[in-house]
Amino acid sequence: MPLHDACSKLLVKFLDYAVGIDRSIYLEVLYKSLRTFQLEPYKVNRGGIKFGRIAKQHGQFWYPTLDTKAFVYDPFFITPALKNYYDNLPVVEPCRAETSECKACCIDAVSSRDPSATLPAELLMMILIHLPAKSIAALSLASVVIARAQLPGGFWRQKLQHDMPWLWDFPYHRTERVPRSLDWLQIYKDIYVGSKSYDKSPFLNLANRRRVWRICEQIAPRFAEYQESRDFSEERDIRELLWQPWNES
Amino acid sequence: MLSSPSPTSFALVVHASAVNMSQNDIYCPVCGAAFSIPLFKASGSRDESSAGHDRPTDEDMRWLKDIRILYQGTYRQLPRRSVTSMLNINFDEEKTYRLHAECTYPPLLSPIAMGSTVQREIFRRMTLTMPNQIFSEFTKCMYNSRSAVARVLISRDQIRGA
Repeated sequence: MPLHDACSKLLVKFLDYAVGIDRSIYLEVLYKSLRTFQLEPYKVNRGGIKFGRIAKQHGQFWYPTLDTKAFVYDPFFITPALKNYYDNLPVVEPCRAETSECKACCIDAVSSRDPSATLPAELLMMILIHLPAKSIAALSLASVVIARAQLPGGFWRQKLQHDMPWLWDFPYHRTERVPRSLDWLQIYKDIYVGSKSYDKSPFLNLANRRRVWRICEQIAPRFAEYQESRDFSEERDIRELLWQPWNES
Repeated sequence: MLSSPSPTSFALVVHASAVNMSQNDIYCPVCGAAFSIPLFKASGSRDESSAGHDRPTDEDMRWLKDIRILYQGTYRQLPRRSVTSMLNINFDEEKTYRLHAECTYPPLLSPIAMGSTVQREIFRRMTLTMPNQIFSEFTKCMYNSRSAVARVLISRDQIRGA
């Protein structure tokens, strides 16, 4: 059962992040998990891995399409465009920085009928952190309080870490000390939009990384289940067949 | 990698990192892309300085040397799924060769992904190893399908012996 080198490394990263890996039995568990998926390759709606748009290329012929360009990008490679972006992250304008400094999270109590107005700002922020960006946009249309809320840069930084755990090469990923002048809302927007497009984005490697990460999410539950059960009676001697991703730098 | 084919068998020699590949395992179970594609540019041991440029790396060139499809037999015996993923080869009953190039895939069409130098190199190698009859059909198909490249090498001897 072959895997791309980069995909294997990404899968390890994801599984380590999502469910934790017991390296002593990793290969056996992985083999068993993927094998069960392979035994039902045509049961797309009954448990098989959903590959998304790239599945259209699984037919008899391959058709050249521009909107699949991102699929060939190494998820680990930092393109010159991305490196340039990391080196020149957007910063807030001075006047806006002063405003956001004094307002941790300013929420106007405009409408008494708006249920969001009754919630404390901290609770609203916790809810918004866990909501997808699309839902926040929809919620801001439905709620004047949310629409007028001035969310601080710290919120968007947290949301960046929450929504994009695959952004491990970001300069300030998981670090405490960050420049206060960074425009986190703009950074979130840039990376969110850049990682969504498969053809015109300047960050196509991030788009592919995000795509493969989502596929890994489908593998994780089964992996966790088999890792918990520790039943590998059918898997013998696969250690020699499978490449161990952490053995190579 | 598979060994040389028997007179009625099909052999697909794949990239060395994709070992133990069976006919049904041509897609990576993690990313969903085919193994016959040099999926990632400038990954791992590759020369990162060539990323995004129109220049193949040494690894690209090694990969090109390793890829070939050897086939002898009738069309029905062809493992359709595997072959058509790379190159659609039609052998009709009269043993005249009709080769239809449908194997282009976004990686090769994307100048960022592989670069046209690689495409030209594949094309050159293919055409060099082709019998004239096949080459004639091949160029027609390439023209009709507007395909820039086919990423397999046909063994001249094997095809002649079919």
